[in-house]
Amino acid sequence: MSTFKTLLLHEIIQQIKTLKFILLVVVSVVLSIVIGYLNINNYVDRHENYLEEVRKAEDAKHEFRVYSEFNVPIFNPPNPLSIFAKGFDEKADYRYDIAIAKLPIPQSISVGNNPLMVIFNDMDIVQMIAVIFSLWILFITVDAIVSEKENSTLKIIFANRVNRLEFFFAKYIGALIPLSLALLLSFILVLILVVLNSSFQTEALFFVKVFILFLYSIVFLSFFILLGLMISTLSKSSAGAVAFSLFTWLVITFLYPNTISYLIDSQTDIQSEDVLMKKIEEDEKQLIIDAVKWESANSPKEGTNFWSSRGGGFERPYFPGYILGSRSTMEFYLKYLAEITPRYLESQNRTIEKHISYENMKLRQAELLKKFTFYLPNYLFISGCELIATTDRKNEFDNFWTEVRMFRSTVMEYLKNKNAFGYRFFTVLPVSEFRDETPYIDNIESFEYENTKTRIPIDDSPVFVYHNKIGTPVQLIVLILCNIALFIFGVNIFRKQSLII
Amino acid sequence: MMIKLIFFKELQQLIIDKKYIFSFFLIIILMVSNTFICKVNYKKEVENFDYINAERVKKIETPTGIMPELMKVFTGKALEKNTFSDVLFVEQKIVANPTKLSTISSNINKLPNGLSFDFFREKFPQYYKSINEYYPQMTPMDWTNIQLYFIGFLCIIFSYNAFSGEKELGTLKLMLVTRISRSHIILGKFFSILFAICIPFILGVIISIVLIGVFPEINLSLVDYSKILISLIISLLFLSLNIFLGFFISLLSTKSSSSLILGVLCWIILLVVLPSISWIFGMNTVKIQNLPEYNRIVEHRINEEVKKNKNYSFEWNSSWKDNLPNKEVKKRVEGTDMIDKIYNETLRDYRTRIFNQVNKSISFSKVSPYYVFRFCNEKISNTGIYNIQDHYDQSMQYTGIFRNYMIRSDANDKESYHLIWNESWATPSFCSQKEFNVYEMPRFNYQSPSISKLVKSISIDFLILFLWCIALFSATFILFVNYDVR
Repeated sequence: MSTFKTLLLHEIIQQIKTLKFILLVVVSVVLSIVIGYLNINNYVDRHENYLEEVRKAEDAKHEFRVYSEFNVPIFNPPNPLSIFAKGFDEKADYRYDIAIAKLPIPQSISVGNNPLMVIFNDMDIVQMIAVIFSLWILFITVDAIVSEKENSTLKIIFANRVNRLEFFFAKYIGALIPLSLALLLSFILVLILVVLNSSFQTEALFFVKVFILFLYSIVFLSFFILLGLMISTLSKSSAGAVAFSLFTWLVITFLYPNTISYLIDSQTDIQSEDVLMKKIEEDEKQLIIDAVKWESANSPKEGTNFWSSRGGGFERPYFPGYILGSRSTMEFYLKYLAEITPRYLESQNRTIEKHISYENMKLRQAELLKKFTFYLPNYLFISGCELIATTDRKNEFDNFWTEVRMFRSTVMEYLKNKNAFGYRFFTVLPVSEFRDETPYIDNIESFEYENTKTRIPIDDSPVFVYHNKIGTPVQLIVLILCNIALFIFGVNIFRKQSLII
Repeated sequence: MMIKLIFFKELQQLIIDKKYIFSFFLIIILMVSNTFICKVNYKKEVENFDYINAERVKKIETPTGIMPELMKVFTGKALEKNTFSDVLFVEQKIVANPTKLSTISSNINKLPNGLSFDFFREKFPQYYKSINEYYPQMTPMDWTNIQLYFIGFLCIIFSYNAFSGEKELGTLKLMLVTRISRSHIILGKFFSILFAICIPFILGVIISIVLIGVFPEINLSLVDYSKILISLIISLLFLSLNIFLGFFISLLSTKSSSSLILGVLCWIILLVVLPSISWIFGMNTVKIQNLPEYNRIVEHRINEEVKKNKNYSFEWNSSWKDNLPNKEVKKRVEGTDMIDKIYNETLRDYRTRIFNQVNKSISFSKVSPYYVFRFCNEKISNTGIYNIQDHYDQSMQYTGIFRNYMIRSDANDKESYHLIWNESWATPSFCSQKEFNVYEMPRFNYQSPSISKLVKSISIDFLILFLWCIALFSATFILFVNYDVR
């Protein structure tokens, strides 16, 4: 035990004194501050935009006079952990309209990022660790054993009856501890920036998740430490070890994933959104024609029909906010609601299905890529971090949209129970006030019923609540197993290795 | 003579190295597979381009959407062709041309590739292609990225121990005992590494060109071959720069393993770190408004104009239809024209800013010669941000040509009252109702930059890369002169 302690202390001190380690600390400090600062500002902008949209929607909610105006949009709130693991968080800055006449299709409320800036790779903390830290750790550890062979210090160490397992383990922990401290410094710097930003509202869970991300990062870096030690064991020269480790890193970090994703992208076909919209239009065309035919056949005798009451124009059946007219016009609209609206809602369901099918096509392409890259350590790490931060695709898109659609069904039930599809759908005039003649009103606002500020009572409307779900961290388990396998393999190889070159 | 000896000696050592043999085949495989992928992508781009253009002509020529079906229902007549007033409101799409030379530098999939407009308004940059937001942003393995991420890196790998390695082995002092000059040693080593690296690269280029010649979809012209040649010259400069960088690093330390670490650190800093940071300066130098702010600016300007000029009218009177235009109609026209003008001016300001921001970021990123090389190749292959910008400029010119054509067509119609404004339910009463002939309309034909224009635009980048090479060579020479070979 005392031998192990001596070895360990020696290794830690040696690591900390090297130029490589000092350079790692300097580079990681600079990058953490820059990346942390940028990502925090980006999150704060997005959060402020989200709060503004929520406030506007809340204000508008209390102004609805008729049920056809009913629209309680849902917004996907930005995730503060996107500072560490961006994932799909920024891409999911969406608004979902929960209304009768609108579909809950995601509409971007993204805060005007320059769409041309995609030519630059913007990193988050996790990507910085996956790219920079992983490479640097390989460098630091890759000549740990082979340099001892070159300097002939290895045989001197083992002349003292040192256990090979103890030696290997000391090398491993001796690299892990200083590197974890460097990593901890990066995380602390980012957290300091978070705390110093007054616009940032954090809760205890945020810090807990950051700590879990930190621990996961250590597991990831441990993989590269063990990889470095293994390469060092197998190599005959330091330079050769460094060159080989570099090449391995290049292949698993850049060449292989980019080549595979480039290949898959070229071989799989995703139709453009134009084609989807065309299909939706075709489906709705027949409904619109039938609706217009029905209107022509059923419109009131005095000639007021759907078109003239709306000022003309052939558009899809979208209900006016409030319509004032004769008794026959009012009854016409009530009939319209009973006969045409259900068909319209069915058409909306079909449109949603088409959107889902389109999304599934895109997901299939992403899943195909996942099959080929799942076991790469960088992929395991980045996707695992997204899972912990709940910025993964499932949380940001799939689960959220499923919940939104379920919520819409709840809202439709609520509206049905409120008798929203009666006269109050389109007018503030009670049935008893329907007139025999069509009043000609130039300025609707001056009409007395419009000035009563009657509002539909929706304070008891359902409220959307979404809880991010952390998925099963399969990636973490796989990475831990890879670590164990590499350790066992590395030790076995080292045991059989000669102590001299 | 001595250079020749050193050249052949170094080359021989390099060629038999396992690292080199492996890299040789990997480079060719990467380049050839890139060619196949580019062929598939080019075919998709052409199909998309043809589809959008055909749709555009169809929309201008014939009524589309629900309108013709409804007119059939109500009047029993089918609308066959669009009239002049219909065409005013048709949203036209212009999509960027497919790029034949994407083997050199591919387009980034997530860049917008088109714009839409009608007679009255222009729109934000648009995406007329399939975008999969679930798919990660990838680095396409085109020639530029193969050189940036692999071949450039290989140059450093083969040159990092050119001097420190020889010093460790003790062969450097033996070499200097002969009368060979230090500059000849540097040049001999340089040419051997350059030649060794260029063999697989040029072989890859030749195989790719042959394959492209075989593909019926891609038809390269003389201009395209000239561009490939220019790209090869730039690549030579880039690879030379990396080799000299390796030499320079080799002379900074006495241990080859330290040289390698320094070399890789430089590579990471030049390729990843510097560009990742530099675009921040661009973002902070040029501010762009976000979408809600943009809408607020437009609203504010409109309100200000309406307050200033009380002559505008936004009240519509149905009695105006089918009657002579009066003062009120003209006030309405002025009002809507004012609104369109403000929308378009604000949009153009936004567009100018986004391009300025990205250009500033590119300028800052050119602190790294790697990004000088990258953007130079984008200019040569006419892809990426330069293509978008050029395409946009030409599209904007075309919208002006289209507007002038429409105004002239209306002016030639004696039955028109020549009042055109952005309200589809009212304008037809006051402008030309003649059937529109889409084949007489001026067409948009994108002109890619000529060779002379291209050479002018890349001359600065060429100079920067050349100066880097000179500077690194000079630094290498000075260090080597003072290098302790014992």
